[in-house]
Amino acid sequence: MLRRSGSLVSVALFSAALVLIQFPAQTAAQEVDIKTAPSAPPLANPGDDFVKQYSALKKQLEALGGKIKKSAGEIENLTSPDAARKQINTLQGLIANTLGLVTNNGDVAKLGKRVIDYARSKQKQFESDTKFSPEERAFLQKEWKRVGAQTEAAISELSRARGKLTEMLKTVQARGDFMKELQALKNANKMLEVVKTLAAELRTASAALQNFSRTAKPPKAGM
Amino acid sequence: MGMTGKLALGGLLASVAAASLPGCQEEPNYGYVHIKSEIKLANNDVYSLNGSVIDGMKGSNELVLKHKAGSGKLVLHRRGRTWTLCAFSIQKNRIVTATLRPVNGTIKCVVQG
Repeated sequence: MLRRSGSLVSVALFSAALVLIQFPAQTAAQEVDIKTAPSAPPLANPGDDFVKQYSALKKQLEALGGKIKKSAGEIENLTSPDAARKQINTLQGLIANTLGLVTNNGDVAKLGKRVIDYARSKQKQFESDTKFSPEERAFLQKEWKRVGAQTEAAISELSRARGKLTEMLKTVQARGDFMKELQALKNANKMLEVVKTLAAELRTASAALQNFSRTAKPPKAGM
Repeated sequence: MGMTGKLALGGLLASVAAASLPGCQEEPNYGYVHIKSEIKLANNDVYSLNGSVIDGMKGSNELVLKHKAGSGKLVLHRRGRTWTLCAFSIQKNRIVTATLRPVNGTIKCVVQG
C-alpha cells in the first residue's frame, strides 16, 4: 500500500515537474506571439469625415438659404394668384430638399453621433490606460473631451437649423393649403394677401438659416 | 404582329431600357415626419416607423425624419409587445406631425399634416 502510494506521489511529482518545465516555454511562446502578431486595427475615427460633410453642408445651406430668400422675394411681387401658387410649390420643394440635409436620420446627424460616441470611447480608453504618463493621459483625455464638446455644439447648431426649416416647411405647406381653399372660393385678392404675408415670414426665417452658416463651426481639424 | 402589337412591344422595350439605365431611374419621392413625444420611455422601449427603429427618441423629445412618400405607421415596442400608435400619409415635399401624449394611462397620437 505504502509502495503504491509512494509511486503515485512520484508520478504526481513527475507530472508537476513536467508542467513546470512546460509552463515557462508556453509563456515564452505566447510572448513571441504577442510581439509578432499584427496590432489590432484601430477603430476608424469618423471625425475627419464629419468635418468634411459638415463644412459641405454649411455651404449648401448658405446657398439654399439665399435661394429661399430670393424665391420668397419673387412671390411678393407676383400679381397673378396662379403664378403665386406655382411659386409656392417651387419654394416648398426647395425648403423640403434643404430640410432633407439636416434631418435626424440624415448622414450628417448620424455621423455627428458617431463622432461623439467615438470621442467618449477614447476618453474612457485613456482613463484606464497604463501605457502613457499621467500628463500624457490627461492631455489626450482633454483633447477628446474638446472634440466631443465641439461636435455636440455643431450638432446643436444643426438641430436649430432643422427646427427653423421644419417651421418654414410647415408655414409654406399651411399657406399653400389655405390658398387652395381660397382658389376654390375664387378669392384672388385674399390669395395675394396670403402670399405677401408668407413672403415676409419667410424672409425672417431664411435670414436665420443664413445666420446658421455663419455661426456654425465644425470641430477643429487635427483631432 | 399587328401595328398595335408592335407599338406595345416598342413601348415595353423602351420602358425596360429606361429602367435599366442608371441615369434614367426615377428618384423616389420623399416627405418628412416630425415626431413630438411627451411620453417618458422606459429603458427597453423603442419606437419604429414602418418597421425601422427610430434612434434617439430617448435623448430628445422630438425628431424630424426623412421618409419615402407613402403610408407611415408609428409603433411602440414595449416588453415584447407592439402597439400601433398612429398611421398617416407621407407626401412628397410635405411634413406630417405626430404628437404623442399620455392620456388616462394610454398614449394618444395626434396627427397633423
